[in-house]
Amino acid sequence: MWTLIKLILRRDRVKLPVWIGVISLSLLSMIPVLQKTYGDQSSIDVLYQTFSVNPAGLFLTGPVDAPTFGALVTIETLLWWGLAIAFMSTLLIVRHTRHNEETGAQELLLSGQIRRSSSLAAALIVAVAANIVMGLVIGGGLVLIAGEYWSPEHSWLFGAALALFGIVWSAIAAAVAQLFENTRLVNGVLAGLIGIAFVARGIGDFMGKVGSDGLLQPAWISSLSPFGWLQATRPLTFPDWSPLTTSLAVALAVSAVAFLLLARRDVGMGLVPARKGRTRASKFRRTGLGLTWHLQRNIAFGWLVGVLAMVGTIGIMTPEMTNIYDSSDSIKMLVESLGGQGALIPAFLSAMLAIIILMVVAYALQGLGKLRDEESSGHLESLLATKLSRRRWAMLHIGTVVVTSVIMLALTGCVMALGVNLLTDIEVSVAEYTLAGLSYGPIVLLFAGLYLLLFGIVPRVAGLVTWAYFGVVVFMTWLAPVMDIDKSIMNISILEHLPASPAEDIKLAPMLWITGIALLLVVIGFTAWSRRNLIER
Amino acid sequence: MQSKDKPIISISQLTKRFGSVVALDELNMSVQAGEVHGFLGPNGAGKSTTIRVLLGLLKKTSGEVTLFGQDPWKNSASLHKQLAYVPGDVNFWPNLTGGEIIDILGELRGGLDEARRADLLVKFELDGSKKFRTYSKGNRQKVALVAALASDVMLYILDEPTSGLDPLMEQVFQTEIRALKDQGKTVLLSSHILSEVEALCDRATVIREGKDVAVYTLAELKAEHANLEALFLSQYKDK
Repeated sequence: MWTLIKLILRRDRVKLPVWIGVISLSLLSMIPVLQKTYGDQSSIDVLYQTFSVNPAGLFLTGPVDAPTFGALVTIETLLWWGLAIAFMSTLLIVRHTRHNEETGAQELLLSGQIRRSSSLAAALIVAVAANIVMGLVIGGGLVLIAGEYWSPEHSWLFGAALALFGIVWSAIAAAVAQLFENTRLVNGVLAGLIGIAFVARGIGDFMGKVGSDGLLQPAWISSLSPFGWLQATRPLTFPDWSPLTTSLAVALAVSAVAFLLLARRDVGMGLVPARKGRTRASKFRRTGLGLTWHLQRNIAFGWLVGVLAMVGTIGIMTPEMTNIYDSSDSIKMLVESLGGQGALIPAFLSAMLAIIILMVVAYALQGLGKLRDEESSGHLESLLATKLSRRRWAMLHIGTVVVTSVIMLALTGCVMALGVNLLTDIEVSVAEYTLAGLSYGPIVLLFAGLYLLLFGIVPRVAGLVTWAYFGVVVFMTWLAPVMDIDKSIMNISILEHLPASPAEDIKLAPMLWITGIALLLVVIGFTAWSRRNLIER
Repeated sequence: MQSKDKPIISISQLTKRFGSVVALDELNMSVQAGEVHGFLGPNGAGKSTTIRVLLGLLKKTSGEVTLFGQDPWKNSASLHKQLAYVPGDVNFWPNLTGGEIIDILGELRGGLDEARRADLLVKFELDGSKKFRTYSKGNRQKVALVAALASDVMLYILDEPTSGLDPLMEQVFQTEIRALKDQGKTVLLSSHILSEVEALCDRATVIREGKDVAVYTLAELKAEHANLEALFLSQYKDK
């Protein structure tokens, strides 16, 4: 078993430290950032009062327990970093359990002198250890840098709560991995469960009542969700270690279930049998476009659901925003810098639009990633041995992704405007917002061009580099306004060059030159693709 | 249409380098119309690389390659209308069924013969309703085989097509190839299985470390050696 653990650690020797490092360090770096934005007690007081009277914000961030800096840090970080940790843990477990079985590596391992349950045990041990390490780094880090805001006990509880949160999700992943044969399905189900758990907690907070101690008591539904247990520890305000026992108990129970399920099935199979498919391909699926759509379909729908969910949430939160933004100068400044001029609701919506646009770009990157996927997996070899040409194949995928992205952009603006019109007594122009969404089209084209350029010249790093640049743009959009970064550095992010419509007028010039660059990249990328060897794996 | 004496595949002094690694070293080979041509060599000799150059997937470093008299790199899409390919490493989309994959590849090759498709599924005992990732290795290969054999083209390029099949299926395969030959089709068969090459091929090119070592007609082989195995050993023992 120790060998298996060493194998897992060796396989993830870069991944694990990066995950742990990025999560912990980004969390710790939020402390000074938040201190800068919300430094004065008056902003914190306003935040406290606003949250006490309006339930909409609770859905996204949870309650502000007290007018303290600790409460502020909690609502800004606990749940979001929890999300990241949930994904880190579940992906880790699935990678070393179900994925191994799917690739056949598991068969090879099991022909050695190990028990069937050893692999699962090894994966769980590594996940638990990783979460503990991360909890220690976060807790210790907070002790070091946040000593002036709260006592060490608060910091350690924060770390411990997040660690146990990750451990619970590791256990859940272990159980779900026993159910289905297909890794993608397992990851999809887990992502869905994480989403449902988050929403359940949100609903619980939304419907909660303020108790006699002035703290929000969430409705019962929160107590079914790991996010609920995480939040109930209230680490930075009124620390309570008891919800950790719930987490621990659930983690142990679910792990036991996972082992039970493991014992009941064959290696390589799931407890839920795989569905049979059609014997003949439909007329549409036999065409190049049909096959392309089959490969792109799930990615498109998944992101579409996510984008629409975000838009819906923003629509619900809009009316409450006026209260918060009107009452603090520093927050007003923040919104102004994100692009708002004049009326604050359009400013807020434009800022939110820009963020959802980034989700559409993320979709586009994942869809475009299929190009490299198909090549490296060997699927493309058989396709290119037919009359399908390289160019047509690439165009089919790129075209599908770009068209879907444009539809998503238009829908985002349109639904956002419709939502605001329907749910609040503010009236905005649906046409204006739809056009605003579309005005970000060149950004998507630019990323497509960048990906294609890299795909043609250095395919192995195409995904890595485009996602890295995406990360830079996200960072600039989200954090830079509060960190006062120099304008010349901000301009690295392509999003900086487009006005925040519709609060700011749509400018044709940047749209044109960004599209121009994108087309140039596409042409170069295409040419390079036509000229290079097919590189697998 | 190819004339009788112009080869369908003509490879002359073909060199392929990957960086500093020389995968093909002035390789020569030619495949005549209507013959079943064997392609023999140890692992890593360059068989798959040669086939990939023929398919326009890899760009040659130097030398001459013609397929149906044309440049396979420049005209790959149009040339491929006349050929069917079975890869050495069969990788298809995991969530599509065998039947769907056969249909898709058939459509992309310009059409499938329905009767032939059904007939081959029966002969190879392949259940087309299962998703590709649930097939065993042998069945995965059968998907590629049926997809190729069900199409009506002039040239079949098969890269170790039966390495995962049992002896019964091997016989089915050989029967089908003989049928193709009777129809005047051309087959390039890259294989490790000597009995298969002996049973099917008119001529065979032997490749080792990127170079063509010898070309034998089967008659020449049978005249000179008891069987190809001795040929293999005699060619490879001086390493």
